[in-house]
Amino acid sequence: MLDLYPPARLLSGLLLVTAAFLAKSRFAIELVYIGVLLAVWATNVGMAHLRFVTFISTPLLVALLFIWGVIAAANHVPPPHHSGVDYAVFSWLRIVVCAGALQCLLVPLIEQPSHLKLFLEKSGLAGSLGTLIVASIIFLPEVRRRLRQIIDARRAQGYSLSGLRGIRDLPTLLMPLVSSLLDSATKRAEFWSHRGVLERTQFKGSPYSYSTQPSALALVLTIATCALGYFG
Amino acid sequence: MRTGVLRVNLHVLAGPNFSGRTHRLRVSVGLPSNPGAGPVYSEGAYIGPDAASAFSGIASTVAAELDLMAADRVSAKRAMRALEDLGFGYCLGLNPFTLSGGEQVVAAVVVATASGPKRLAIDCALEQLSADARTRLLAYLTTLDGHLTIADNRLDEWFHGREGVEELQAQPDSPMIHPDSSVTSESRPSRVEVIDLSHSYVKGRSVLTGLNLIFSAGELCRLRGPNGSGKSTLSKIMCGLIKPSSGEIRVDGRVVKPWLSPGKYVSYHFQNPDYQLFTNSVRLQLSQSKDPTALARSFGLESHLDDHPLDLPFVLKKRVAIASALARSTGYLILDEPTLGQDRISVINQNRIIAYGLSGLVISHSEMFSGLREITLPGPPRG
Repeated sequence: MLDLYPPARLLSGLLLVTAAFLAKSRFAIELVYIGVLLAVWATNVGMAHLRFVTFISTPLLVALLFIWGVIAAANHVPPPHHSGVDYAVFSWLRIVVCAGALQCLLVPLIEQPSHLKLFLEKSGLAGSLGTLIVASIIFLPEVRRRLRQIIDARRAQGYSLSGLRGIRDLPTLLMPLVSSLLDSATKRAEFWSHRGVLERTQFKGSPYSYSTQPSALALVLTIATCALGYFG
Repeated sequence: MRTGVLRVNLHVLAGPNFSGRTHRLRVSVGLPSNPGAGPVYSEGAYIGPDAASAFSGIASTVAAELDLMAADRVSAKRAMRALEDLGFGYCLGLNPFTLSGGEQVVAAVVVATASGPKRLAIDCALEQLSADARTRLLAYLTTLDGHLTIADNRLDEWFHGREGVEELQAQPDSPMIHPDSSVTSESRPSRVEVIDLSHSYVKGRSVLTGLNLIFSAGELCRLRGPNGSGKSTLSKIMCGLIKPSSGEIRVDGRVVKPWLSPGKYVSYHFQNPDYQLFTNSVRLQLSQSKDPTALARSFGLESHLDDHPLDLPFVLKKRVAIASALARSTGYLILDEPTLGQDRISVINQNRIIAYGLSGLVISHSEMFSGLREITLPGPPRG
């Protein structure tokens, strides 16, 4: 994976999300998506993006096509574009672009909280404030990590969690998840207060190294993609 | 070698479960009796059986955790060197929450010492370490200054002195395990073979390489190996939670693909009981047994049958999880650290229950399983 500087990563991600909303035509959003696909390839999250497109966004596309291509047409509701199908694809591409940008540029930043904390501290933010921001963000990967372990434990008991069975079993999985998250939050709050984590504002030395050229290149390419999307 | 900032004044708490050891340890480092009982700040550090709770949670690697928590840059560097000397230097670049239980304990202890605490309390955490790793970690700790208080259920395996030992007594009505021969595994034991098994999580970094093992039907074996040698990985592959990179699994002579139907041929009891309790009462959790009440009684859970499993203390949660694993009917059962947090008498009695006609594999560093056939995995292949 590319070791992009956290500011470059953050800025590129935010620019691509902005470009998705600035793009005026379907051709423009397609150009932006090509830029996102390049970023997905460069940051090695191709499989995760493919899974998102296949299992999450495709049902959404079907729903959008049904709403704008069938229901809206039958009720003579004029779509914002020249055809309902065109508008459904346009809306879907916006969502996929945002998800792709998050997956390749922002999620790695969230999953490396110490990088984010160091970046916030170097940006002049008070250490305790940086720690609190990071603490609220690390909630997401923690939920994912715990859920994965709970799913493994459930599967090890012989329960299949695929298809409708998996949906039916969801409340069963939520109980240990919520309980362990509450327990962990209590223990972590105690640890922070006991060991003075909030007062630990400075890292003694950065163990991280970032690549300057790929970071600059990522920013230039993102800006170019945004311009193409906006003017294209 | 002097690697830390403390020189230790050792105090050992010897006593069974429910003798108030955890309360004593927490209070000794300035914590309230129970988590969440109030705000605290002291110059002490506490590491419990769940060593993951002793990490800040905002560092992506152990090195970053050290960088955040160490008292100064020199202490951070000393601690990094200490981790390398202890044989756990490879953990520095890894996420603390993806480490195995034993690796987490070593990393948590070293990080805690780097922060320069005046008092350090270790509550039943050393049980997750191999004898060799525990000896090295204790040797490191005894070179430090300050007060070190340890409670451990395996004291007789490594501590032979009497000085500094405080004997605690259990509460009179504490729940005891009563081995009952009527509580046996209800399934037909299976013979499991592992043929030429290899696995790597990251390309070029093998965890298991060309492993060949035979587990006979009706036999209870013990799986050993240094921390990080792939014991949990092997168990997950046998259970079907992970598809191996290559190799095959045979159950009763038939080639099976457990990853297509996890838990069908082999059950797996995880180290952490919190993730495997899915019901609203202990009675429901044991409902797969033909006699849940008898099973609960044998594990000392009879007065908790209608309690929520997640409301119980760690020791009892662990017992509920093991009892529910026994209640399931698969031909083979893997128990990962079944003795964690249990005192000596409980372990002896629990082992008697487990041994009644069970075909399975126990992953444990405890010497109390030394009578079983041992299968030892080689050291962590980090190449």
